Amino acid sequence: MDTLITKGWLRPDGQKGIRNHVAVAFTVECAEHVARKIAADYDDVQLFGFDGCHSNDFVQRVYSSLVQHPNIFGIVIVTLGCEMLRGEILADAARSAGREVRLVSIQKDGGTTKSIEKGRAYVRELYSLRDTAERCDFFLSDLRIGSNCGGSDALSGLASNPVVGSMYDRVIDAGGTCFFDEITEMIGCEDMVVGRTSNEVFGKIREAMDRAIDIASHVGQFGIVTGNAEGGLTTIEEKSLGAYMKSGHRQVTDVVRVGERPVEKGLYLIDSIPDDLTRGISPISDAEDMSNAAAAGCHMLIFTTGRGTPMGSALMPVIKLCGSPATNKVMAENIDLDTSPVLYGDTLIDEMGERLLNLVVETAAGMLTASEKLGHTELHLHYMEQKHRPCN
Amino acid sequence: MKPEENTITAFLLDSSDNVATVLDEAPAGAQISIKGTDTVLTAADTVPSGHKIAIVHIDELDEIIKYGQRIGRAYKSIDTGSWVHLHNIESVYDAGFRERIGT
Repeated sequence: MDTLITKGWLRPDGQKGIRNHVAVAFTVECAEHVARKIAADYDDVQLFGFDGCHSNDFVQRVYSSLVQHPNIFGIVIVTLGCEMLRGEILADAARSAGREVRLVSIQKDGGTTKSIEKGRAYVRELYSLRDTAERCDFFLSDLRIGSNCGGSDALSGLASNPVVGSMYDRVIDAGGTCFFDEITEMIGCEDMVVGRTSNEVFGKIREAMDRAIDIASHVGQFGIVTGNAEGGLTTIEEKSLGAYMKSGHRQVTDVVRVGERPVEKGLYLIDSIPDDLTRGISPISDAEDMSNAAAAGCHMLIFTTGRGTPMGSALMPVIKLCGSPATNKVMAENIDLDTSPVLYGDTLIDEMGERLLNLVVETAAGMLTASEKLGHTELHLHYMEQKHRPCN
Repeated sequence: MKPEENTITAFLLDSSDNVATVLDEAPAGAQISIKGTDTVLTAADTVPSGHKIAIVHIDELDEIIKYGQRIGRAYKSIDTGSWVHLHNIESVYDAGFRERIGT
């Protein structure tokens, strides 16, 4: 059932945000220091960027989507000036989505000190303007949620991941939109996916999985490592099923490529496998997986961990779940929801799923998550070769 | 059912599964209580935390079922209560894994 959650922020392009962020984004590592200093005056500036210099269709597409993120009110783009990834093109993308945009170009603006001063003035200006953003009703059906698992242990697949799946079922039933990722960790789940989607969409999944298997065979590594085996995961199928539990039980609406945003609501698989083995590998870090979710327009991200990780994300609040009693104790400040009662107590997965849904709603309504309180704004863009292919 | 003192709890994900996951290390001989059922097994081997235990007898070439899905295949027969891992099961897709990590 759909529910009014909160007052969100209505962007001029019609998107609704659950945060009203000012962001600072750099286009090349040469501009990172200046960008970091520009962002330093405020605790909640969302700083992110890209190390590279060369651009390609993938980087352009993903970065353009990030600067149009629904949680962004305004953005200062910091460029060096000679890099291939053009700040002006990103500024145009943000402007076309109605975001407040300011551009700092270090080579034009007079080096480090002057660029920092100029950027800081822009940030102050954006903070003074952001209260003018239009408010709107924000419903559960407006939510877009991503998920990721990292620092997994053998228990992640038993508790936290099925709890995410249970919450996903509820959000989708309410008309919302959820995303799952990690195709390399779907090997062995084909039989489960085939019953959950149309033939056409299954064809896309199968094709992406074949690409993933090609890469796995080529590099002789199927996404399962020694630590997994020590922790009790014996086969790639077993590891995959644990990760796959995050997707819940509803029909898979379609497959989206990184940086593309579906128009229709539903459950989507993000295809993060490169087209060409020789040009970039599949995302290998949690920060990259999270940037894929942000580039899909997710308002927030659910992160399941066993060993514990402090990471959060720029642009999206991250809700962190952990089923390990030891980690919940040692890294208490980093964890939002202790799912261990599913394993060690009498709590059912669906009951914990309901608790997670409540946390999702409270977070959408403005409650800060652990990573937000601690000031985490990780977000990492990477190179790969993946052509545009619009979904529904 | 509350497990008794000195009983290790194992977690069963689907009623069709033939393996359960022990939450804490189970020494050989320990009593293993399968959560949510009345089943209690005796561990035939020491089973490390997070690892699997056979809850029924599994024949060579039988499928190993967890989450109600096939996670691999037995290449040796496995007695009830035994530790289930690289020494007796392998992936259908990536049978080379156990050799790669030197098991």
